[in-house]
Amino acid sequence: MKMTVDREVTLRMARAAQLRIEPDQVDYMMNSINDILDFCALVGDLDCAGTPDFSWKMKKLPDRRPDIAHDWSDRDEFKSSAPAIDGDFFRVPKINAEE
Amino acid sequence: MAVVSKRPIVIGLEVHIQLNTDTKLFCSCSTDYIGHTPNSNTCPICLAVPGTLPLLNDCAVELGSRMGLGLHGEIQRYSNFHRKNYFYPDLAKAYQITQYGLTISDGGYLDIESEGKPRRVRIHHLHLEEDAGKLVHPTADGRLTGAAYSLVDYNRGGVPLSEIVSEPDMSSPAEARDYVIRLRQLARYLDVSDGEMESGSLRVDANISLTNPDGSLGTRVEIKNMNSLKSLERALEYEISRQNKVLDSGGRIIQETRLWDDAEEVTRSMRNKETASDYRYYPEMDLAPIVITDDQIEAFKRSMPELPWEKRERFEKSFGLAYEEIAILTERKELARYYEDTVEAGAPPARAANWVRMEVLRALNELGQDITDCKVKPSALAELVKKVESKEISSTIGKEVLDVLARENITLEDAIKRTGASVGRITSESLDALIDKILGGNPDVVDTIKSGQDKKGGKLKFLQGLIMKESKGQADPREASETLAKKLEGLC
Amino acid sequence: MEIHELTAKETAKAIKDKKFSAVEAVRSSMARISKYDGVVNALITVLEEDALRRAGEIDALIARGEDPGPLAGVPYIVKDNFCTRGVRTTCSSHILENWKPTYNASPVNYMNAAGAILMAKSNLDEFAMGSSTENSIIGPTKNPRDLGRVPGGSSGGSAAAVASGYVPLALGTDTGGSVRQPAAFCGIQGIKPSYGEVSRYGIIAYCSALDQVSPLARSVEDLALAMEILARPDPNDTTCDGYARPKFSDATAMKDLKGCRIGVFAGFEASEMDSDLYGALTRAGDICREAGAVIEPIDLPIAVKYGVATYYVTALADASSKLGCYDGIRYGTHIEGATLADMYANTRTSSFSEEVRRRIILGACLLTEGFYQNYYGPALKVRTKMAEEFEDVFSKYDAYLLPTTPSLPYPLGTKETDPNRMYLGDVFTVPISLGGLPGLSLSMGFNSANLPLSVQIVGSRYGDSKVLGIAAALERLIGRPTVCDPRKLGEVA
Repeated sequence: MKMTVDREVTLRMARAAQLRIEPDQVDYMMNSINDILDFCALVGDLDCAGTPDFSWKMKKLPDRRPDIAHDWSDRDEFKSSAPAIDGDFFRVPKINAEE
Repeated sequence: MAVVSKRPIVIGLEVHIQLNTDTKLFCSCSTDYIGHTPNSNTCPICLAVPGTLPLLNDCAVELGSRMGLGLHGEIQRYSNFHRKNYFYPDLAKAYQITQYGLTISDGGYLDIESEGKPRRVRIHHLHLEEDAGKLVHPTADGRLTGAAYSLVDYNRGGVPLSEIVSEPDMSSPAEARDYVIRLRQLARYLDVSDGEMESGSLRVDANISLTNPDGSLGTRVEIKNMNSLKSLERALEYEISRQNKVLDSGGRIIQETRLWDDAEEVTRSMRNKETASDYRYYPEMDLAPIVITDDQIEAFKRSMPELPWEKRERFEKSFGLAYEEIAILTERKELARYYEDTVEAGAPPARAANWVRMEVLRALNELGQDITDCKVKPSALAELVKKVESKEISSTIGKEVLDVLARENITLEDAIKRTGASVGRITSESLDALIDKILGGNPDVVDTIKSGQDKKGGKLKFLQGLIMKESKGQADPREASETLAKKLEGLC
Repeated sequence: MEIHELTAKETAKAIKDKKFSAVEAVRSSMARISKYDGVVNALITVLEEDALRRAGEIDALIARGEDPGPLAGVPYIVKDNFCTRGVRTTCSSHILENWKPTYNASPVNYMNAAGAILMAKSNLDEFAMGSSTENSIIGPTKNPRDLGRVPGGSSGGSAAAVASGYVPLALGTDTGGSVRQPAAFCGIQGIKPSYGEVSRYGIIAYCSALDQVSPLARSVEDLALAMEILARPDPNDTTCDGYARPKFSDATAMKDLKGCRIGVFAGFEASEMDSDLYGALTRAGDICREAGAVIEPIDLPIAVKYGVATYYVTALADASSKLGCYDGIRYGTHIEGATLADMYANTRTSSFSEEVRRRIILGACLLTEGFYQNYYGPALKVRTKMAEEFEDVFSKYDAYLLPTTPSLPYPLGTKETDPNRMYLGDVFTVPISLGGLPGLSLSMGFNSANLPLSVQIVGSRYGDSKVLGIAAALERLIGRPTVCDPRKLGEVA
């Protein structure tokens, strides 16, 4: 079934993806999303009754990882390039504990 | 306190247990993070560094399967992972890898007893998922700098959890508590998790609703943030009374998630927080499916230890113990093992049960120790029990000896010497002679008794005490008082 | 022949035979880059010093009589979505503008271990989302066969680099045609292996379910050699198959196509696509027949009709979730904000281009309840139907020929706004990706306007050897692509 988004859903989805849409861009974004949704609605046209979901088949499933701990040697190098560090922590804007 | 509700209560629990693996669910970082430097248990995988891929821990699959089998679940030959998409700083990838739909174990049940009644709680499923990191919120005057910020520690991020989702089969807060106790016991028996609620390795979310007058299910409310069995019970009790009040006053229950506030003892609505339907689930294509062969399932089954209920049954059959005794002895498999070792070392089962249950647990409790720390070796306890049983030493001395053994690493013989008793119980002949000596040395006391003036029995107790003292506790108290009584009778 | 005209295999042999040194090979590569990349703009980062040092080491190994590996001293390039230790890896995005990984992607390690020398990191559409290599922090890459046109994408930088003779071999990633289409547009060879052949460890994801590391070269033999180096089990990627791979280079020894049954796509009318490309498809079929193959027309109705829509639903949903990790906290660009939501939005909105943002929002949408039921859910089932259609074809044929693209490289800056038309460009590549099949774009020479022609050879899942064999046989008859000095058509050739 073909679906569309309105301005409200477009903005809600942008918020869910942590993206901002400037007010004068909302209609443009909404329309271009609706164009693609319109095109992609085709996937619902094929009769797939009784068809299972797709999954990859493999010739040989790789072994699962053995439970042996390793330390990471490049941690300091990694941390030194992190954008916002406070001591040993990564830093984000203040969040209220109840949030 | 028994909760009163005129509307039948329906409770289902979602219990997260941290699996006892050495490494995280999808990377080789150690799971031993408590007290570690922030972000020291991390690697590119659990920090969601671009290009990295999750690598499923084989041990987590085994532990999850074991727990599933313990719950009589059906281990799935094929299951997979999903991404639960949402943004939060403690979730590095902006999605949690979890199972959804096809899970590692399906169905099952757990039998519990609550307030003396047996009850079967059905299990919906068990699935694997990764834990999130932790946020630290320094206060303005806190020791951490930059109070305008919150700080993120990913050490816990990726630690393996198994979530056990029950059917809504519990009808009181007490049942919910007893279900968690049984579940935790099972996890510990299976070495799947240490199940400590306080440290967060066992977490409980509850779904609760009150049945409508027409019998239909009421609106479900989810409660989170209960950090102990007590707070689980209190939160449910609070919620039952809250919902009843709302309904009594003609209000409606809204479907929501509420947080338990331990200090205020109330539940509070989590406003402005995403609800489950907003989470976007999506198949995780970075991981191969979990395929478990029949052979592996058979191997898991073979490696299953004796389960709590199996042990209880065996203890009843083999040792003829009472239900209450068995319940205490099998509460933890370590204690059960200790008891069995004691019996195996020659202690009579009923006596040993008494000693372990009463004396060993008392001594450990006084010392603040766990059974696994117990300095009294089962073999020593068995010898001690035998000596008391054969009256070689008195039970009073026996308890003193146990206390010494529990505190110090010394042999049973040394401990007996330490209590001042010579090894070997006093013979009947020596006891006879000793009593004669005491009676001869205290004629006034004997006269008082003979004349019937010892109404309260204080003089008799005095003589008994002297016997025990003079024999350095080696006299059997019962034999001593019988002999004394006979002799006094003879003197009359 | 000059060094830059040699294939990878020829280069390695010449270096091992001491005809020239690895250092000279690197200098030759640098000379081409210096001369042309100012115009072509195929590269984001050039690693001259590292490459020269590594070449010195290779030469020293050879001097000591040791074997540095099958790609001894061969300069290569990777798309800038391959993680390279200590070397900036941008994905053509502001969000990773200054990011230096602490590790190498597995394919990079494999190439290095085989003696190849990493020369540069190439341009791409941001996060590999696009098919023209125009949407990039360094601006568009130009097609060296005609500088007025796009090189295709998203691995356009790697394709342009190989066509321009910077290097004989480059790696790209192909999600829905991102290597095959630029190979076709730049007149070279490129293969997208079966899904599961090559490790994705260290490849910055666009779509986990479809991304596949794919080599580009000027000969099928080089593609086979690259496959032999790249395709292997990797403990760092459990979606990479654990099976023991065949020796891919053996496949290219196939002399003729006797006994081969090849289907030729006949689901399009000549009028529905570029007539020269239609002609190239017909000609490829004819050559196969002459080489002894049995040729029959085939149709792939489900794949062609539903492929592109299914692909977009699959890829955008995945991309939306994979691009969530760019939150400004652990790495990459971070733009302060008063609240957490502001920091997220500031960082992500200004660091992703509009096209990427659109795809992320659309992807988020596809994963919400109603949309999942009407789009993502059905797409998962259509994929199964499509796989059944492919299986049915491969029960009758060893391989089949399809166009790689329905159109010739288009002029730079062509803004296509109608998605129906925009996505039509992917109609022949995405079904192959959705089926996890190997697809090789083979150069079929040029049309009368000197624009590159191509055909796509598709095999069954894990039938990569057969595809390479048929391609090698065809290449022998058609001639392999040559290096071009980048130029604008209309100028004197």
